[in-house]
Amino acid sequence: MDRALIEAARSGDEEAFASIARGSADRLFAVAHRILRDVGRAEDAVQQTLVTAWRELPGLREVERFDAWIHRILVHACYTEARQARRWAANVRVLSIEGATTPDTALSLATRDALERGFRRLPPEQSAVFVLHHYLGWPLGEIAATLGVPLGTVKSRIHYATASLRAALEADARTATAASRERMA
Amino acid sequence: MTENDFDRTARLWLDDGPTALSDRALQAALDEIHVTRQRRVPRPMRRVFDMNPSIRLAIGAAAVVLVAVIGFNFLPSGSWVGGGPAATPTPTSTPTPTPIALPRDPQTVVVSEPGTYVIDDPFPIPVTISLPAGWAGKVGGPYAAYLDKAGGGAAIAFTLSQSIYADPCNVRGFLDPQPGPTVDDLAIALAGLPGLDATTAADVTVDGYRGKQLTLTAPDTFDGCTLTRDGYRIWQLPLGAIFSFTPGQRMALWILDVDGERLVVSSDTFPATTAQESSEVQEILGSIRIEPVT
Repeated sequence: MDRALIEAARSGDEEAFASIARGSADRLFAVAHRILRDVGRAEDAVQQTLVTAWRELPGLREVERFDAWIHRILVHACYTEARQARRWAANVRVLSIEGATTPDTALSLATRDALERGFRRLPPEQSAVFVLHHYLGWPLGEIAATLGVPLGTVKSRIHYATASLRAALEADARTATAASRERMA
Repeated sequence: MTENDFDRTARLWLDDGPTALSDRALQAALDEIHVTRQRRVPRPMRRVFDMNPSIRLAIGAAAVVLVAVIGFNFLPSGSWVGGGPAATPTPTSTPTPTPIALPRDPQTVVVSEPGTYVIDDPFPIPVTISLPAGWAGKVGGPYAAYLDKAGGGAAIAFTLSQSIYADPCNVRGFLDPQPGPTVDDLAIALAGLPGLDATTAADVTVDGYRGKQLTLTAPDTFDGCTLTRDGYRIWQLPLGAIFSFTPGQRMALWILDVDGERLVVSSDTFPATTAQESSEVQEILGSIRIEPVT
């Protein structure tokens, strides 16, 4: 991110911040969508993030930390969205669309469906760490620094998220095997 | 499935999905930004060491008197009704000449020797406090600063921009509509929360700033409540911090209008809080000095 733009925005230059927003919005949205699994809520989280970032930018001391700073705001906006959504989504069954675009046909519909269902059961704190690590490729230490939580907490969250998703995949595989046996019997 | 297989599967799954924010959503954010004021950056603390020695001495002596006066200011209607057993207000020790800035979250300063500290950037209202030994503090961000007694027997928080939950005992989301912007609006909303025992909000003046003081006490048991893992929730801050109660917890609140910003000073005490810890809470509250917001 352009340091001069951030400094100008920090001093109240709205156009400079608009440039930053245009340059960051897609990436923020992609991350929010991975955490929230919902386009509308991801849009809301990004909008809230941009408004909060604009409002709080004068308080940012280290301009070079802007990227981490705005991702931290985003993750917290996602927590808020997720908690508001959870009571509504509790009984929503995830339906996969046959033929949905996927970059790798090796990932079966059943696998994606199992991951989707498993992921939606995760607490947002675990979802966020999982996405930052596996989607953005951030090391766990960087995630801890960005979110302002101890490294051990991040390790714990990634551990439980991974265990839950692996369990979802294995349960799906067992179901598929049982169904196959029934068909053969 | 091996670890590598799982990681590859997770990456492929996460890569599959939308990656562009709609122009409509971006424009809506920019429209809101256009009508949103940036937060004011607090001016630097006045440092006593910038003054000549005679003035410094005079201020040092005056500080003792000032602390006693502020302590009195924190007494609604002349009596301390904060969390914990009633205690006689006592002046704090003379503040150290240079306030030490509390660190930004996640770092925490642990006070081994009594000293004077300043809550500062990014928290927008500069506040100085004198902390006795055994306390820890940090600035959580632009909306909160925290002081905690080691062992968890007592805590003090400075917060802004609370979103109030509708019912601490049940997951019913936030009050809708949220309280209005005044001190009275927030005091009325908090006093009206179901399930909590609330004192009548009293007029109070703290360091020259007017406000309301009330105390909320949680019931001794949360049986019958439908709680999430966040517990018996009372409010949430814009960046996600949730304030909640444990059974029997008391929260004394000072809701102050600081140059148009609604600052909430809250002290938490618990059934197991000792008289010594309550006394320390009172000592800290009595030392609070709020700098003007510029």
